[in-house]
Amino acid sequence: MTLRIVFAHGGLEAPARADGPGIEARAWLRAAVHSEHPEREARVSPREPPRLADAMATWHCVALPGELVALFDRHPERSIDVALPGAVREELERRAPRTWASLFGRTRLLERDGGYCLRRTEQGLVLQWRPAGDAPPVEHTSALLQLGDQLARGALAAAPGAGQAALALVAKVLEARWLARRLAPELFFDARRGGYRLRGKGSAAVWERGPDGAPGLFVELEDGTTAPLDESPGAELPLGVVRAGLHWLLGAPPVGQALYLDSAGTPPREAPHTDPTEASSPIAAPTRSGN
Amino acid sequence: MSAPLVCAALDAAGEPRVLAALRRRADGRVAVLLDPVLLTAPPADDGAAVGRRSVPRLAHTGAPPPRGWEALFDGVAHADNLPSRPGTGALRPVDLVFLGASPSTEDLHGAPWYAPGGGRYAPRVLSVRPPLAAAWIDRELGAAVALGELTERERNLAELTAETWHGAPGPIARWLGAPVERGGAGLEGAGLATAIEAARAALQEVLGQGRSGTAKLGDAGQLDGALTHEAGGFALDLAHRSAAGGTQLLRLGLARFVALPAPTAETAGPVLVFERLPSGESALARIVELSPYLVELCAAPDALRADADPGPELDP
Repeated sequence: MTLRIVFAHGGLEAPARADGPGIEARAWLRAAVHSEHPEREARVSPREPPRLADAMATWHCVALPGELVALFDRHPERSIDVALPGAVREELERRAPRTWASLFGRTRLLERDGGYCLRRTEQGLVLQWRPAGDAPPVEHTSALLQLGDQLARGALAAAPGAGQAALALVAKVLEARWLARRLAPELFFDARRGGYRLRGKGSAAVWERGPDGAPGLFVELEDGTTAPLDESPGAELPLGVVRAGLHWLLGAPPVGQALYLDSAGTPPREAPHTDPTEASSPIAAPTRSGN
Repeated sequence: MSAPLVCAALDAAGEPRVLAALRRRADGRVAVLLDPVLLTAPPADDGAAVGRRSVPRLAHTGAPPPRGWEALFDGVAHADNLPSRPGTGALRPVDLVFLGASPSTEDLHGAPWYAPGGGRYAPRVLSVRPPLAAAWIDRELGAAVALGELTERERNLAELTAETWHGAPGPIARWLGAPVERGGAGLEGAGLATAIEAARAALQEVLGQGRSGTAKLGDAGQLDGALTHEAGGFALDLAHRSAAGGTQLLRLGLARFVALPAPTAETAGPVLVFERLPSGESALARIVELSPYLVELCAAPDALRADADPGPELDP
């Protein structure tokens, strides 16, 4: 018999102040027992010894690692699978290291749900598709997201001489074109030439066609030099992922931080009590609801 | 109804001045952008409303007031929604409503007007025929601009309002500065400037409270003003008594009005709307803020008349 523990997406909570320093982050988690007999499959409460007939509860907030370790101890006969979304795994490693060590040492770890991961590193932006299961991550490229990373660093690779006003202008233009679909009030749009300036802030401009009329985005710096800006989103990336990633990068997240997104570009998150499978079947298997 | 709509008027030099940019939504509601610098806060974020149509009022960036064709298309761009994927735009329709005179085809279509996010704008010109005689008082220019056919009395009242409350160079200033031999008060230099300021203060009493007023002009003498009923409306009688004892008179026929309140709201400018009475007189029907007035006009299909020049053909 296998005990399967599914962690909710983004379900980690900071420990309550009253918990004291020994308690790690709390987590929403769901446990299910998988037997060889599907009719006996049910969820179990991690707080109590599993009684398959009446274990109808769904999501629990478990103080880590104590309750989880107790759960393992109560079921030494079972093999335990832990399904973790990538974002929760990331958080768990960082915020609940003892729990993480417990999981790693005593269970078979599954990473559930493929997802995109954007990580800012010292070397640059790393963009990966992390498939479900144990398959290795797939690297992706997006010139637009690299541009967003450069803006977060405060320097454009194509125009190293760009000052703060030019960087702010490029960020506003990308935001208008890819996110808001509206011009911010501080942007002036020059309809004669097809380009943008910041009202009253320097002479930098972003044009929608090059000096020879070729389409594309070009930045013109205060000293008159012009450089092309590659804003191609990346052929194989869903537009929702690109938009969410750009939104994150324009907020200048610190180096080392990562963003996890599903294919629709939304951060993976399951609200504890709004799982659509809950309504129809109180004993829905988490393996089905999770994938 | 998704095309942006920009209201403008041509100034004396034929340059457009943007009065309002309107973002029209699929449900027929409009967000009014008093000018391009007053725009783009999402309507849901700002509960303030302009006028009785619950038009969202938008944020202010402090940019200079927009004039000219570049400013007009900047307003268009701000009232527009960009393509969902940049670089995929084609010809994008835009409605331009001109109060009063319309621009020439060459001005409008002589050069391509590029649209943000790709493509070009295809302007369609509509012109507004106000339902009643109306004068717009431009707070920036400090002038009254006729939007419809105004009688002399209506024009006098509009110009006097612009002069009294908005600092326009109107009939009183012209009279005070005109030479005595041509019926003016013959004031010059600093004396003239002081007299104009004093006259405005006195006129605010006369027009705002409907009674006589006096302004001491120091070395330049004294200015008396009085408002009287007469056939067709009111008469404003002004008398300038110089320090030397000479007296010059000015009589201005005005359309009927109920005491004009001092406009306080910082809007694009009030519009004086006159109505014609069966007696043949005309009377000031109401003073409205320009923005609700424009929204009202633009929301009423009968108020808009398609111009002879519909602009270039649009992509299907």
